[in-house]
Amino acid sequence: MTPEREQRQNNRRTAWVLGSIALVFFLGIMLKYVMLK
Amino acid sequence: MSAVIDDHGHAHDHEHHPYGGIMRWITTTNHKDIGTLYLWFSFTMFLVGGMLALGIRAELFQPGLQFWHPEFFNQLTTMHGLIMVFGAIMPAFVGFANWQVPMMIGAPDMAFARLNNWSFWLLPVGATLLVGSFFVPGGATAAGWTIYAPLSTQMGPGMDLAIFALHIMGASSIMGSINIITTTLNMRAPGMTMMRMPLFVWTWLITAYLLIAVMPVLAGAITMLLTDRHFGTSFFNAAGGGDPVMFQHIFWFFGHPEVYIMILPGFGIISQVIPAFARKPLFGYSSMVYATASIAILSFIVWAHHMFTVGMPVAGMLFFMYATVLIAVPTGVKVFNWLATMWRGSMTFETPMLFAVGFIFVFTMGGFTGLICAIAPIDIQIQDTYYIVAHFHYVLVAGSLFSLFAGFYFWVPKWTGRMYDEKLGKWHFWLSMIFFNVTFFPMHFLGLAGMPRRIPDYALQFTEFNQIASIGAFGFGLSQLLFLWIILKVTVLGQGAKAGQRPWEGADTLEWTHLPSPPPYHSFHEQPVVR
Repeated sequence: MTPEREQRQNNRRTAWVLGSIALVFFLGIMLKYVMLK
Repeated sequence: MSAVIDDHGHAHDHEHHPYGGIMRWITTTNHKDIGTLYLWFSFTMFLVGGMLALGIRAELFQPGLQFWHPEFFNQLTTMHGLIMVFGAIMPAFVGFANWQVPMMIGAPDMAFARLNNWSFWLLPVGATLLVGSFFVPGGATAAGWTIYAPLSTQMGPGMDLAIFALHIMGASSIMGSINIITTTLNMRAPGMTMMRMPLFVWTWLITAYLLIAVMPVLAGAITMLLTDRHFGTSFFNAAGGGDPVMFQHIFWFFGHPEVYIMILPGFGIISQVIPAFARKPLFGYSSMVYATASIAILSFIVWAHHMFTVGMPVAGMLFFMYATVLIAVPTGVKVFNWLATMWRGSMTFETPMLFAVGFIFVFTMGGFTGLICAIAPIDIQIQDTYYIVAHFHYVLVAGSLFSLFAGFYFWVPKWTGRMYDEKLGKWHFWLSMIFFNVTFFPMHFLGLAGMPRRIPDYALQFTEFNQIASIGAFGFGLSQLLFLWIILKVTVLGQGAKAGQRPWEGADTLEWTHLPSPPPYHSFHEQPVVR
């Protein structure tokens, strides 16, 4: 059963949101302390 | 939760892997294959980490130095922790998620099949770097699994390899989590509403969110560590205006949720096993979901209970102490619900149920000692003693590992189409249970008497309890060879009675009600409908 095109788009959208959250945490923790310096 | 299915579209399966032999495993994008890879990888790392633990216990059998230099002893404790956390327990739960989540929600596979392959194959690379660091000049990192600065800013190239390995394994975890969340949110079968999802799927969904929030924080911390070591920054170097205690704050902001990452999917497995063998629906399904979410949220505001001795204001200690104690409430809800599920159930005690009941008994002891550790004035006394070692092994071995054993025995008939050897399974349970307690219970007394952790030598009065612990550890290690034999019998050798579609009559999730044992290579050709 191959996912429909719409399903694949939904999946990609969810992944981008989750990936962005991860990136924000990664950069955020470092930038916070770079800014504090 | 119950699932009644009106669709039986699995009858026309076509087993096809484009490659045979080793290439099948390297190129596979099938969630079952990848689940199997995760489980074999994690079991291998469990044996490697176990060997290191036996090296520790052999040294501690007697006071004085027997086998290892103190530096190498510290490498053993550090690598044992890192390998067990990042190489054994976490990948094992991801293996279970790969096998079970799509089948339990009626999805054909994971949302991102190729990403799934990549998530797995990063792990052996990371593990090779980690284990290989023993052989570089200066040996492996010896800073403890917490890799506290300033120790970790000073060590040799083994530390760099560990940092690189953690980056790789962290990236694998994040990609795996994105896959699990996307699959769970977007690919459930019609009728499989969120509040009908099996508890195992719920606990993994929440765990995956935790991973996405905290693995990048660890990645940030170790990146800063790397720049401190090689690029002249001073994030954690007091001589350059940095703060080593800051590393502890950042590490534990990752580290405490990490504890729940290693136990919440275990809660999910236990929540599947107990109703199946009590032949009753899970008591308080929705409260279980809310309790899991509460534990996850609270895990973000308790990190400094690992740091009561660094010197923090009383108000800070009180906040972190009370917040930690608060976690006992949702955890208590869970234990209560498991017991209430068993209450007046038609229970039988096959191996999965033995491990589940054993889990409740022994994990709860670890939970109680956790409460004791959370009380700041007590923690200041027992910080960095064997009491802490006893506590977290009651949580991670009797908790995470026993739940993994329960899950393996529960689902292996589904995965392989063969029943495991029940008699040997029960031997495995009792030997593990007894030797686990022989190993770790005496450590409470050692800790209360003041024996420090991560030290290869000790004062004479600690000898007897250490000898008991070492004997128990070797017994526990040998018991796991029995487990290896049980696995080989049911998987590689294909021995054991054929398992029916639903060998456990109380199991009612989709993989039992809808798929044969073993399930076809591609689970659902037509989407099932849950009514």
